[in-house]
Amino acid sequence: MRAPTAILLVVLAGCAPEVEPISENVSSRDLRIDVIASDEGSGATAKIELDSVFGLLRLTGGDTLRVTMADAALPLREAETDRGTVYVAEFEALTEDLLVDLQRPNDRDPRQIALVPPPFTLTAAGISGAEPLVIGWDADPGEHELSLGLTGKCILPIARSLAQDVGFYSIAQAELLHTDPGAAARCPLTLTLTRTGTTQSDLNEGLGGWFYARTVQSRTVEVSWSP
Amino acid sequence: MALVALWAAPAEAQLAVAADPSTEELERAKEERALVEWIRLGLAGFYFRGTKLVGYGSRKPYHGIAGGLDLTVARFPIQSTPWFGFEIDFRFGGVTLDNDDGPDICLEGAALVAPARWRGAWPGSFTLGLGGGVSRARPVWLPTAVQAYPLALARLRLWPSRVVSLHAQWRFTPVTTDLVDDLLVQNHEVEVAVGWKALLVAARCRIDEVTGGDPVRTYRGVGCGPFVGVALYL
Repeated sequence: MRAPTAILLVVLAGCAPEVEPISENVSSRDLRIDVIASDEGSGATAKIELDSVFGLLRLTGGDTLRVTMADAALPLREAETDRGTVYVAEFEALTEDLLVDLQRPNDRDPRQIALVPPPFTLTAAGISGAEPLVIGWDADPGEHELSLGLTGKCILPIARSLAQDVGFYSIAQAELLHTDPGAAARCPLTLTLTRTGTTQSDLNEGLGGWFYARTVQSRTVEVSWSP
Repeated sequence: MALVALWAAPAEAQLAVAADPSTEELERAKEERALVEWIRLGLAGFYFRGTKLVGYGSRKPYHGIAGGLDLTVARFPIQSTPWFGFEIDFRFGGVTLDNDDGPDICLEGAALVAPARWRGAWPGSFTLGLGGGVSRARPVWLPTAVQAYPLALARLRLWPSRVVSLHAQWRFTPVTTDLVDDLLVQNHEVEVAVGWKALLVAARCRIDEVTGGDPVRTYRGVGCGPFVGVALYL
């Protein structure tokens, strides 16, 4: 490349027209919709991102986003992050699958369902004597991943994936490794059980675009540990 | 006077006069050809900006610069049919668009018809043309490297004086071979020029319209720039 052309390119690159990340400039076939929804037992949130080659998009040009659960629309608000605009809904509980519907007057209307693992109640009896830690919850053999976590100041944290969602699990005291010789022999523990559902599909029936959803049901209980 | 002389002369002389055009007629024919013919050579520059198709149907702004040599030859060579002629236009230069650059080449030809030529205070002519061309894709962001197309043109020329000339031209491309990619590409180019003797200075503007994508949109680009060169009126 000769010097005059290189100079021209530098000048043009320095004052290149700005690309506005708005939805009316992006085809539905060039769009990726990401949904992250979670429920930790005391309220649920769903965050929706409209991603493109121009970054996260803000809805313009008459485009509207609608998220419904059990035929009820969730109230969405626009929020700004360092990556761009996201749409957030805060509601009481994540109980059913989410229907995500992008309505566009001048383009295809993508509509997809984010599968949600069922909610559950987590119970755990305290640990005493030489008894194991017994954990119970509402079983569901669905298409989701199940993981368990146990933490405490006196033990090394435990993190496990459970292959079957059968509703109970136990951890023997021999598996609770102390952090160091100076740590207390016993301490209160925090137990967390998480169901994670993932949905991935073409956004426009094989014509392009992508839909990704990650939905999480998580419950935490405190476990006492006494002699 | 010439008609009276023709009637009074003997038959042989009449035949001889009818066969050889007079110097005055030759001069007039030459002046009338100069109203429509020329060879024009110069340098042109162009700054353009607009929106382009990205992905399946998304829209992104762009801008760029083009420039180079421009040679045009317009001739009406057949004296028995002075209304009809031809034009050849060759452009060679370079173009930069965002992060891309490369050569910009164009070769066009057209059959011309000059339905109006007039003399008087402001001599002039009006020329129409139909033809075609091959060039680097215009706008340059199109996926194909080369495009072919038909074109139509109209040109108006006026001479307010013997040394000053005014020119206006419109050039239109209704469709290109980009149609095979489901893209309808149309270009309009308008030029206004002022000449002083052989020197010619012009301003050109071009509008590119590309319709296609999913959803179907029209992507427009507008460019303007100067032309400076010389024009020889044959």
